[in-house]
Amino acid sequence: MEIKNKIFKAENKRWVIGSILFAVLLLLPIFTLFYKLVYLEGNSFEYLWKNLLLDYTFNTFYLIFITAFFSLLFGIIPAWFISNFKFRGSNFLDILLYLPLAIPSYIMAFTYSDILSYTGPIQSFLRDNFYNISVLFNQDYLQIEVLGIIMALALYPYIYTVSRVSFSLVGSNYINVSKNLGLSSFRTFYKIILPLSRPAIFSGLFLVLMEVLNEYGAVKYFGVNTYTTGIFRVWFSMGDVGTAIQLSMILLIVVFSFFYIEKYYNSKIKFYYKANSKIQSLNKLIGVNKFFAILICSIPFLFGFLIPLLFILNNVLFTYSSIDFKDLFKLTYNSVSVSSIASFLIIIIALFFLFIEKISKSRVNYFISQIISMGYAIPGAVIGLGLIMLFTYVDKTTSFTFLGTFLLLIYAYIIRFLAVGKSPIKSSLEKHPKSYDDAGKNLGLGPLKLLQKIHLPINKFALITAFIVTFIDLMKELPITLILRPFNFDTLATQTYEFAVEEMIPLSSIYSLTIILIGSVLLLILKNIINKQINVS
Amino acid sequence: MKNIFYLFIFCFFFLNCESNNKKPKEVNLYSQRHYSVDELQYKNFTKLTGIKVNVVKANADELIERLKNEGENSPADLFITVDAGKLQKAAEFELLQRVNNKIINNNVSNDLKDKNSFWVPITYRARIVVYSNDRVQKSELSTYEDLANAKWKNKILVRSSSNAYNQALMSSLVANLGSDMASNWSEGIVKNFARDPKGNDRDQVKAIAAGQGDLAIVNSYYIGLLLSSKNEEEINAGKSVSVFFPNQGKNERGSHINVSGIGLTKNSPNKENAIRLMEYLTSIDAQNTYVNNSYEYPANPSVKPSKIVQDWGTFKIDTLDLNMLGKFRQEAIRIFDKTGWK
Amino acid sequence: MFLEVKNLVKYYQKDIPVIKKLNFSVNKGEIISFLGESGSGKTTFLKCISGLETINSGSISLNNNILNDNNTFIKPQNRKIGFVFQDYPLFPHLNLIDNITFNLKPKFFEKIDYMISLTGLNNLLKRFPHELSGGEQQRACIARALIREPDLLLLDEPFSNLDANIKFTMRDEIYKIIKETQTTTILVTHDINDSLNIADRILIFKAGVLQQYGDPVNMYCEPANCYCAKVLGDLNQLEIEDKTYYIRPEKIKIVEDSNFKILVEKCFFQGKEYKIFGTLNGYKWQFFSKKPLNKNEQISIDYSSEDLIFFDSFCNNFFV
Repeated sequence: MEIKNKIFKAENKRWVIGSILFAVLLLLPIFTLFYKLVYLEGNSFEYLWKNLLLDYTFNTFYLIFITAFFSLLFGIIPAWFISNFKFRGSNFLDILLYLPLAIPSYIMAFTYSDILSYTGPIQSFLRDNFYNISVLFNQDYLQIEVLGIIMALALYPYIYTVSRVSFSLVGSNYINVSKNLGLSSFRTFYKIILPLSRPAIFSGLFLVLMEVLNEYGAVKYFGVNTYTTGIFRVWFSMGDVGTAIQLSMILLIVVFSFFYIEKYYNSKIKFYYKANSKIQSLNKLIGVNKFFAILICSIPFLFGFLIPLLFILNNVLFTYSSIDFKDLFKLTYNSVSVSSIASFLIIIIALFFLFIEKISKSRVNYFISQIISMGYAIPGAVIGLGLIMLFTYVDKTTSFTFLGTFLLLIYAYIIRFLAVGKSPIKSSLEKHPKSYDDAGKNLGLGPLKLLQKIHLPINKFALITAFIVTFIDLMKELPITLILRPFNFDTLATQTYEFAVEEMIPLSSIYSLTIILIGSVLLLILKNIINKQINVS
Repeated sequence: MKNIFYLFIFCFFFLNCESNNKKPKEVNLYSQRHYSVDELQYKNFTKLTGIKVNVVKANADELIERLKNEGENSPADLFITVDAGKLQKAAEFELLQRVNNKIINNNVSNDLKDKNSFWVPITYRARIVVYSNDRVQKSELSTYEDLANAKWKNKILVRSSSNAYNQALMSSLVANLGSDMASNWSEGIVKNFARDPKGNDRDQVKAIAAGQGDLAIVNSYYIGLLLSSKNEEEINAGKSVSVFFPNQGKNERGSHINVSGIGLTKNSPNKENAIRLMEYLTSIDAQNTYVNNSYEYPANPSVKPSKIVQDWGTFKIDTLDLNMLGKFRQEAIRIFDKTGWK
Repeated sequence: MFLEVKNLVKYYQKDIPVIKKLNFSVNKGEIISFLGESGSGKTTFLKCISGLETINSGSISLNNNILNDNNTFIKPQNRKIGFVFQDYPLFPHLNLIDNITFNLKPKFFEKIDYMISLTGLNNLLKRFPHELSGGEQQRACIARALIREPDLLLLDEPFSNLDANIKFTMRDEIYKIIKETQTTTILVTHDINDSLNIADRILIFKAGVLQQYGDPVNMYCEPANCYCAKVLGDLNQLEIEDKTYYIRPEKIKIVEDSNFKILVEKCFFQGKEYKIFGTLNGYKWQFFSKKPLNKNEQISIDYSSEDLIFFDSFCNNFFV
């Protein structure tokens, strides 16, 4: 006779249904767009197709290609050096190489366009001192290729992080065997380490691509017409919501294609290499090699962080007298509080979903976690558009006003960044053996107590990591905030953007600087935590 | 741990509530303009009248969408933009109400007023041609239409068509010359581009200084801003070009202008305060503040523009009904897309 | 019958049962060894008993309380069962003493000193798990389980992660601890020697089915089938009157002359004797000798017929 497990199933069912509802909430904006798409007038697609689509598509993919190429370059090479060799300053550089993450890509774009411009420091200096050379430098730098490099400077840390971890983990056994079989260091890297690291690097690259597709500020400033700028332009300038929705759909198709390519690719490569059980002793570099290594590893940091920072600092000092500190303080307060609240909520919701995944073994969990991951891939502009459509309707039919409230803004943030918060917590949970759970249950703990007494303390570092990473991303966020922010509410990000667009870059510098400083401090704290964790485990 | 949790919940609701607070003496602006001069104006206004000015800054189109969505519940009193076309759009969507105020009417030049009384101009600017002092003679220039002439091949610098200033210019051409001629004009201009449109107006001037082109189509006040910049390089760039007002000939219509304007919203909750602000902004004091800080031309005929601007000379303005800048906007954008002006 | 398992069926996928209708019981204070290959379902079985997995049909009852049947399911946190997992999962954020006393009801606190000295952990109380050796971690897990005076103790492969040199010591110690506390224990292992050494009864499990259940001597001398026989020791095969019999190597005596002649192939020194590999009538044989034998020597052997083992089914595949 079959045991129905009535009691068992019923209890889990409640939680599972709850998580399904939540997941539906996350998908609502996209559903809204789909719905609207179906009821659109037919002719607008023709307009899009004839005039815009080719241009947007080409630009978007070309930009992706360039950014991908350079971020791989900037990320993998230093990671290789630092993971495998010991040299003076390598530990220091290891930390510094993360710092470009503190600089939003649009700030990187504004800053470099200023630095490189005709009236900027480089060309002015050359004109004053080396006139003949200055003529060579007198180019039009607002090109898509330059934008690609600049975005790569801002985004390479994603690749650096995964490469760094992967290269350190790939067993020194393999390296030793490879050398024993006669392969040089370079060929070992190329034939063994790189292929083994492919899944991780691919994941990092995926993040980079998503950021490029999401990018609004930098692309607009450089005059590159991608899908995202197209959506903004068509929606706002032309008032053509229909075409905006179509563009959003196309963008979503591109995004989901990448998303599934990445998943497919990673599922095919299901090898588990034997990780290093002990910290391997690294070869020491001396002489020419040492300088070469230091130089190579410094370049991304130099161009991705130090130079922009110095330039912005200079602007700040230059415009010191006209800084409105009251405004600065208010905006900082706005940015920090809304980011904190959203990050906190994201962590709680992530824990909720992870909890459900653990106690219920149904297939639904898999789909829900896919949905959550997809949220990150969806560009902010699309989320914003979807939510406005949805809540215009909701506001009309109910007596509530949701448009223009923080609720909507935070809702959008959650949709976009839930995956960011969930990921570190999930990997940490997975690293710990399932027997902790079993032992805890065996020793008398119910599910909530299990969370409180075992999982939260053990995963403390992961929770902090998740908070910091989410917080930094939220501080930098632009498109969603531009679209959904409430009355009288600006963030450091929106203010920087608006000043830059109104051609007042020096005035935007203090706001940029604040974002960068907060981000840098948090990144340093984070790196510290990660290092501590490595030592403990 | 629990305490932090409660603190967050508290902050959350606190932030939410703050946005819905209604204080007694205030006026709410949805404004596209956010130069520091505007901050100054509002501060002075509050000092004078005690009325607090709350500002939501965003792109004009975003603001219009917002007003549309908010409907009767909108807290906005005034809508300010830097483009008459957007004002017309707002009026067309029935987001504004008519204002017939004696003081305001006396403060503002007749040429600039809205025929339908839905909006009030506060400043205006011309979209002019600047040319390299070294490489172009003033005598070579005449009209906007002439810019499409093949003699200017590879010499023209202008920003992207996604910018409202260009869209307004194109709208005025469509209104004055008709769609077909405007379209031909656009094709000619595109063939004369020195490079693909990118950057902002000041970038075009810098590009002339850098030798990447000879002419640029820009807003007049940017030259003023360049000439008064703290950056020496920018001053040099400003000095390397001269200002030319197109279409000044005897039978010509005059140079294209656009206004920064202000409209009273249909459901304005603080109507009296709003009107007082409109009166203030068009008054001589405020107008002087504008001209000396942003290098725009004043809407108030009793006020003279700044010295730098006066040096460029007076010019005939295109007296086209500025609402046309909005009426033909869609067509203008279509022409841009069709003729490849990116 | 202290622990009673009746008709237990467990499967993860409908057609592939991991445990097929298991029936057995354990007396109070007994140590049962659950013997089987890796992946045969032993750990699953332990999880079913402890409530970490649900069963599909059958019943489990412990100390006259039904733990799991058609109408009942007692949650794992409410069963009085101690479980020492294979990887000694001590919580990394707690030190030793906090681990042992984790979620411990006040009434058990007076037993702490006794348990600590019993498991020999006296000076390690403030250490954290990563500062303890494998053996120490294991003893800590046992202490953590036993201090709650469980009705049943489950040990999942407790010796497989230990170094060879301490394995035997640990085995003896654990045996002492269990017998001292008179805890009913199920020990899951794949190593026959552990079973033979400390179990009161052995249960051999294969392909989801109980193969044989009895005390070690019984199991060794009268195996129920080939698999059981082979699990517990080596076998030699011979034909008598068209029937196949089997006999243990140590039951072979070397004699001056007999009808059974083995051709010696290899001779290995084992310490107290030599292990000889050879062939008899085409079958591979093993037996023991006090003196070394040379290759290609012909040796006569003999046996007693009561040592012959006979099965109903042919044992062919087990002589690979």
